[in-house]
Amino acid sequence: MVTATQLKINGMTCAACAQASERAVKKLPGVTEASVNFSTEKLLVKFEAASLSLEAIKAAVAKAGYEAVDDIVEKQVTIPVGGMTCASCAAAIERALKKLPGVKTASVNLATEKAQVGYDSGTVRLSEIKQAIRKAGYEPLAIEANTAQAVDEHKAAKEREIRVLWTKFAISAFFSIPLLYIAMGAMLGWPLPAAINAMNYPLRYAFLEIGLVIPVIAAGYRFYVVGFKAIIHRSPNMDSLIAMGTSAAVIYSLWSVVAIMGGDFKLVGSLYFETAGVIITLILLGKSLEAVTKGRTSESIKRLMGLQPRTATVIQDGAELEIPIEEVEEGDVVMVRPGEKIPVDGEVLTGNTAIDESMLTGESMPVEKSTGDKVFGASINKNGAITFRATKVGADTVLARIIKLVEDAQGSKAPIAQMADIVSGYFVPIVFAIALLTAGTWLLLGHSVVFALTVFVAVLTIACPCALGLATPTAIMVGTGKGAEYGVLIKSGAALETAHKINTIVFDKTGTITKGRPEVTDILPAAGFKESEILALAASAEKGSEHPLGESIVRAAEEGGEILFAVEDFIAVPGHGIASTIGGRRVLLGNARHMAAEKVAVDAQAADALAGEGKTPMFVAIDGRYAGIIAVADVVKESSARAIAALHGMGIEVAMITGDARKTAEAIARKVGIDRILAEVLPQDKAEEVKKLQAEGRKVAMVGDGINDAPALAQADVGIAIGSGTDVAMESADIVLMRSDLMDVPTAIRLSKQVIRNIKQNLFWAFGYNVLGIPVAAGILYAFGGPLLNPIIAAAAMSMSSVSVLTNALRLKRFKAFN
Amino acid sequence: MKIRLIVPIVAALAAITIVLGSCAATDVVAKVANTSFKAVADASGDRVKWSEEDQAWVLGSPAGDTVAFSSDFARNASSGGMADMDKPDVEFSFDAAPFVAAGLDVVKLPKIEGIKYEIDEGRFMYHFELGSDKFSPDAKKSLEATFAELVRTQRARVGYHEKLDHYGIKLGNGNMFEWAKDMSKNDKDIVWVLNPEPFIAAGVDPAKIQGWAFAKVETKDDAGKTIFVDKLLKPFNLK
Repeated sequence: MVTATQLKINGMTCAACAQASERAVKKLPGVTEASVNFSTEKLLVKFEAASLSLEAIKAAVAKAGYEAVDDIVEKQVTIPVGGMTCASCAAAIERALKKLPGVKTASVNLATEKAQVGYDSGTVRLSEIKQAIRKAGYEPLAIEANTAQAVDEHKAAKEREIRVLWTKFAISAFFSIPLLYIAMGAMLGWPLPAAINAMNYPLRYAFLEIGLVIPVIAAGYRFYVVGFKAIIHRSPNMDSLIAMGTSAAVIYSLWSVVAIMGGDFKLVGSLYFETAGVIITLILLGKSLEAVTKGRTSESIKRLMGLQPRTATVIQDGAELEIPIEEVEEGDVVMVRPGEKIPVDGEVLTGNTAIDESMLTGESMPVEKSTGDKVFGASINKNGAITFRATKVGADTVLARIIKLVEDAQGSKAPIAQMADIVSGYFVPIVFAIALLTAGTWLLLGHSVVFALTVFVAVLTIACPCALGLATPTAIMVGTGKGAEYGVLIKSGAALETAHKINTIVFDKTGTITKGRPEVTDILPAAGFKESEILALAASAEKGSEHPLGESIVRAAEEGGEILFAVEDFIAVPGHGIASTIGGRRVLLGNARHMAAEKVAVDAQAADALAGEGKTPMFVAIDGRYAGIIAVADVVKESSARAIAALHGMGIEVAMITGDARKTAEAIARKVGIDRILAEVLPQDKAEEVKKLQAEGRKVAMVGDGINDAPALAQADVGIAIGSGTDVAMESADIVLMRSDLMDVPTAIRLSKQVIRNIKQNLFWAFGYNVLGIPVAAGILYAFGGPLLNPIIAAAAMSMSSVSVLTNALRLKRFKAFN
Repeated sequence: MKIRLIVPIVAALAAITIVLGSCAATDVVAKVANTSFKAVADASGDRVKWSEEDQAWVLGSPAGDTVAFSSDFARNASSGGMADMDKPDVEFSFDAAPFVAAGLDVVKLPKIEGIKYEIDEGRFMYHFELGSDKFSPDAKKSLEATFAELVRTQRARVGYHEKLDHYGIKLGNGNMFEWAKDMSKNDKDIVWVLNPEPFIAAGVDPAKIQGWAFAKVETKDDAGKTIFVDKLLKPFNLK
């Protein structure tokens, strides 16, 4: 077999070097083709792997004076795959892909019908990966882009698939119903034309049944094509079970027809064409319902993908130009009118407006935007025309990254799925064995061939691994999609699963429990001074300040409608405060040391009381007299206490981690109901604190803003980044909360718990169904005097098993977030 | 492309099988009915006789009971459409004494269209009118040829009785003439099956008819449903 590979050649300095190394490789016996590209420094070589090793090629290059190293370019690709019907199909494709040299990882998701492949592009080509899928009996489809057009194409393809399935079902039902009537009518005495009386005209009756079953088999031909191909590849799947079961019924019936031709009319009662026909019809019905239901599990992501507008209005040379969104480039100035969607991410240049970002953050209230504010693609401009400079386009926009993140999560496998995967891998061969064994046993016990055949077909048809394969991924798809609707982005199935086990949540204080922006909380004027007076003078003094505390005083004065005065002179005293002259009055603002240095006596008791509440007191002196205290604090978010109470309601211990002094931390903790305080922790030690909690045997989630908390987020069992989709937040955490609302934390935990409960229910039913169904089909009830399972009933039950699992997963769509 | 190819093939295959089903050549019941009856006739040897008077072939049992098959069902058709029941299409002839002994009052036998009863010289003659089809002149050549014409023209009356592994011809009003599909595997080479109801109406206690069995027989009705019916049975072993 000829293998193609690519090596990186080091040490080349000119084209002659390239030729020399190429010649050295070409000389090797077994090399069919070799070419060295000097500019890319790469050697592409095709060789007989049986007679020549890669090491020998590297040695030849080394002998020529250069160094050949593996050209490892690991790529990730997601390939949509058609033709999968059960978990065994997914397992078969994974096996086929993993056999390929150069394929590092392969994960096939039955619910999303996609294969995620990590491969070394120097060793294996994408076309070879696709070929391997094709060889395994499935169809690799075109790799999609996350564009609105791709959504349309995907939707159209899905609708086509559903239409084809329904058409096939309609055809098979059209022929199966009379087939069943004729077959059952003969047994149950339903009115039948004398011309097709089974006893009087057995061959006519048999031919009529054959004539009716042929279109049904044709409608279900894929079961045979895929099923037998899978058997040949020694990877039998659900189609193999159907193909074998119905083929056994048809072949036995055809043999009976031959016997009838020979005059053995009794065998007219041994025709099972209707069994095969009705099984195929019911499976097609199940598959049609499954396709419709499965389509609904990915509605959330499709909705997200459909959010992006198709065009953008760009201002070029002063003129407005409508261009396709793909053509918008970073730096373009984009115009958006009221009611229009923001096409890409950017920064507002002109105009004021309110923008509905609910589709990205889940926040229902429109957000005010003006010059310098960030806007995000897919959000809706409500009431004012704006222009903005595009800063992120294409795959870099927040929307594109959310889609990618949700898609990756939906394509990932939760650890809980592993058991189902393992079982599915062995399931079909074991079912074959059980079917043969039980049929053989009944024959040995003296039962007829017809009885054994009934058992054989019933076992094959009732044992369906598709419900097992769908149990986990469908719940994850619906769950992660639902989370995205609320601005809760869960990055993987594993994170989703771990989140439900969390019993301790550590919140970063600043920016997480608190707003992360100091605000004026108290103004305590001294005798003879007014509140507004000291605020106006302090704000006037701080107007040019970039210090967060100063900014908070200016903001408070502006919000309070105070008029700020011109500053005549201004001195900043580092570590102490400021001194300035305003309207001829000397204004001091700062800490106790600043006042002491200026010999101003202050109300230290009031200041201590404020500090005890976690506030920062700032003294104000005017013309050498103590004028009062302005207290500033990083206030807690409105939702913090409610969120923590909700977590307590779930039995979760809540800790707060902060670099603040214990006293300050305790004050905040009391306000919001924190159970455990981890105070005076340096940013670099936060991860260590998380580790200590884990060492106590606790499953820890860390909630932070994702920038300085990154190590702790990584250390935690589940890292939850809170914010609005910053790069760091999205990269470092397992769960990303698009809003800054802490209520999304209990929402994420509740979602995780509900999804895992749903998965367990699905697995219980899928396993339970097979555990109960197979013995009944094998005739265990019959052995104890009960009824024998009709293969038609088995097929109906099997079809409904997948539909019931999907329907259960769809219940997650009713999930409600905490308010 | 695939679908365009598959659809006509499937339609053609389905049509062919249905056409085959309606083809006379595939009427295995009729075919085997003829061959198995020929075996019965062959086994009867010189008990198969031609009746010039009745223009019928007569098949006798070792005990002297006979069944006659007209060589042309059109022979007794009159211009008014009513058949001449003295020239039956099929006729059973058997000893009347056991029926009389069991209480038979022949005048009380109910009138049934297509059937005529007669006692003559101690023989009970049971006449059946099956149709007015014109038989091929070759039918006269042999019992098998007559029978083949009967099967051809009265195909709907010919059926297979799975329980006894017999073929049968429905003679009307629940009466049948049955014969073994395979004599080598069946001790009842021929069975006459009579509906006991007319006899019961004429005073016969069916359980007391000597030489006849009164039993419930499992059979299928016209729709194919399994039913159990009372019958008077007279089996013959020709061997």
